Parts: sequence; C-alpha cells; structure tokens
Amino acid sequence: MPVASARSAVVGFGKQTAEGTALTVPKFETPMGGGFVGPERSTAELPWTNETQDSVGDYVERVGGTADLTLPVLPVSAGAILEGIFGSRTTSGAAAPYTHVFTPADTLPWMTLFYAQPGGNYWTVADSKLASWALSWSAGSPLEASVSGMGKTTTRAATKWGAPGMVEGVDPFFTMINATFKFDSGTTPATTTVRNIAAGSVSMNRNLDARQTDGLNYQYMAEQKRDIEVSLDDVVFESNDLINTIFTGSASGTSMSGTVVYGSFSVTFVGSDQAAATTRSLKVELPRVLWTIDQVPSADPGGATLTYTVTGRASKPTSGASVTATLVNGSAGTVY
Amino acid sequence: MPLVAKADVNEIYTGGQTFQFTDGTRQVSQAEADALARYVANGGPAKVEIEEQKTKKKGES
Repeated sequence: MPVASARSAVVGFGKQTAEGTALTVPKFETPMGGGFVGPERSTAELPWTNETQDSVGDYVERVGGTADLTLPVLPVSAGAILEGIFGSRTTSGAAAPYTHVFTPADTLPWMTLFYAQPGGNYWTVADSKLASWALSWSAGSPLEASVSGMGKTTTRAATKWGAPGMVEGVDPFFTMINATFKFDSGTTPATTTVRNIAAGSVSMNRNLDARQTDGLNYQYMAEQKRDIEVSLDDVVFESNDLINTIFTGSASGTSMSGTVVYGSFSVTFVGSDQAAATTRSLKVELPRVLWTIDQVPSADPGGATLTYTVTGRASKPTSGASVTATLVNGSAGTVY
Repeated sequence: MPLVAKADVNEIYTGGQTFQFTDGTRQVSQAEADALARYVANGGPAKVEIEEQKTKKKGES
C-alpha cells in the first residue's frame, strides 16, 4: 500500500470489450510521472431562499471520473495508450518482433483506468475514453506522454486490484537519444533527416463531447474533430529554406505566397537499451503538415544562437492517415 | 449473402472490435464490414477487401 504521506502512486489501464464491461484488473500497470485518475463530483448551491439570509443547501449535479496523467513511454504499454487515443491498431508479424500500426478511428475504445492513490485508496474509472494525448521529447531524456480522459463510473476500493495482465518495468524506456527526425517543408512524406531539433511534442485532441442527460453520470460521450499538432522547440536551421518555403511557397521564392505549401514530419525513437529499431521502436509520422513560424527572428546584439519554435497542424492527405504511430515490440496484438 | 473480409495483416482493432484474420480471411457481418470500411477511409495501413462469399450450388465443382 502506498504511504499516506507520500505522493508515490501507480496507474493501470486497459481496453474494455464494450461499454459497460469494466475491467476488474488492468491490462497494464506502469509507473507514472505525475497526475491522477479519480473521482469527479460537481455540486451546486440550491437556487432558492427562505425567510433567513442563510443558504438553504446544496445538491450534487454530477459524478464521474477524470484522468490527467504523465506516463513513461514503455515498449508494450505505450501501445494501449496509442490504441486508446488513435482508435485503430493493425498488427502484423507471426513471431516477435511484432509491428503495431496505430491510425485514427472515428470511435475510440472504452477503457478502464486504475489508480493507486497516495494514501491507499484504489480508484477505478470505468467506461472511460481518452480525450487527449501528447508525446514529448527533450534532448537526452526519456519520452513522456501526457494523457487526459474522462469516465462515467468511478469506484473506490480499500485494497489493490488483482494481478494485471502486465506490470511493465522501466527498463527499457523510449528515449530521445539516437532518435531520427525527418522534416520537410514543402514535400510529403518526410524524407530529409535533420539533427537540429532539441525538443518538441506531437499531440492529438479528440475533443470529446460528454453530455449528462437523465442520470447522475455522463450518459453520452462521443468523439469529435481530431486536432493533431506538432511543436518543434529550440530548432537551429542550417539554411533559410524552411522559412522561405513557409512564407513564399518555395526555398527560392521572393514574393509572399497566397497558397499553402504542405510539409511533413516523422520521428523514430529507440529504446534506452539502444536495441535496433527493427526490434524495438516507436515512430510517429505526419505526412501532411502546415508549418508555421510565428515571426522571423529578432536581432540580438548578444550574438546568441538563432533558434526557432516551429509548429505544425496535420491534416488528412489524399491517401493514408493524417497521423500514424508504429510501435515495434515483442508482444503480439492479443496483449492489448 | 455472407461477407468475407480479406486482409494482409494478422489483426485489426477498430470501431471497438478486434478482427483476427486466419489465413488472411474471415467472415464479417455488414456492421463489421462498415467498421472496416471506416478503418480504410481513415488511412488504416492494411489492405482490406470485402467480398460476398461465394457459395457452391449443388452440382458445381
């Protein structure tokens, strides 16, 4: 049991077979970087008065569950989170290593989220959907995933859940070290390898529409438009080609362009054990990206290195997915 | 007429359902065929074909 005075905690998660069919034990249990899974209850003051000047009382509007987590990106359990936010998984391979390709789906899976709260409460949030996900990287550091979600049914237990499908340890983890970045400003898919991106993130927001109707919980939870964005921070460019393409439509352009030029992006991460990408890797591809640079850089008499923050918004290409995540690991698709 | 889905992968999860393809094929309902069509429309990487299952009539070889 976690110590009541410490903020240490562990999280579990897994996909349900259907709405209303909560998992009793997690498919995955992993360490976490912060955040929580737990109850959410909104109350309000009764909108009435009487002969006194006191409040007459309150009522409960809604109960449910919420999740806001930072997770390590581990070789197997990362697939459960990717499946939860992308919605489709395609698995191939007759034996390890297996390749799992995650692509967007209109309907996300129902999930059960588990949380061993500091202090010894064990929360389960069933009939949940993931609402947002962001994969972030920084030079020399492990990858992290920020995940949010919401659920319909929250329960508390005084004892921990049973044996999970997999307790995934922290070694190996996916890391920024020896990542391969490909980045093009005017062509798609990305083919130009670059080595000047120090940090960044890829994110997806499903803009979940959760509605309360005739019950105390949310009765309706539905996916809406996918927002897929990429942010590249602290980028040092070796030429002005990207900037020129964004503003003028081509590397050699001279007049401001009235039409959009789409570029592309991909990144492949390997494990902290530096095993070959064919054994263990995570690749994220955005084949059609509108790149944006807020402004051309200001002069700096101090002579500091010229760095940019570049952001991009992914959209649906003529064929293929707007975003694809490819996870190579030693587990078959049945683990999910 | 029954529908058959053909795919060039082992397994597809989409639309809340898991489709395992033994020998590359499996029978699907119309709703499952629709889910696989949405998967393809969203850029799913597997090559998926839906066909009506051919049934042999008595006397056909």
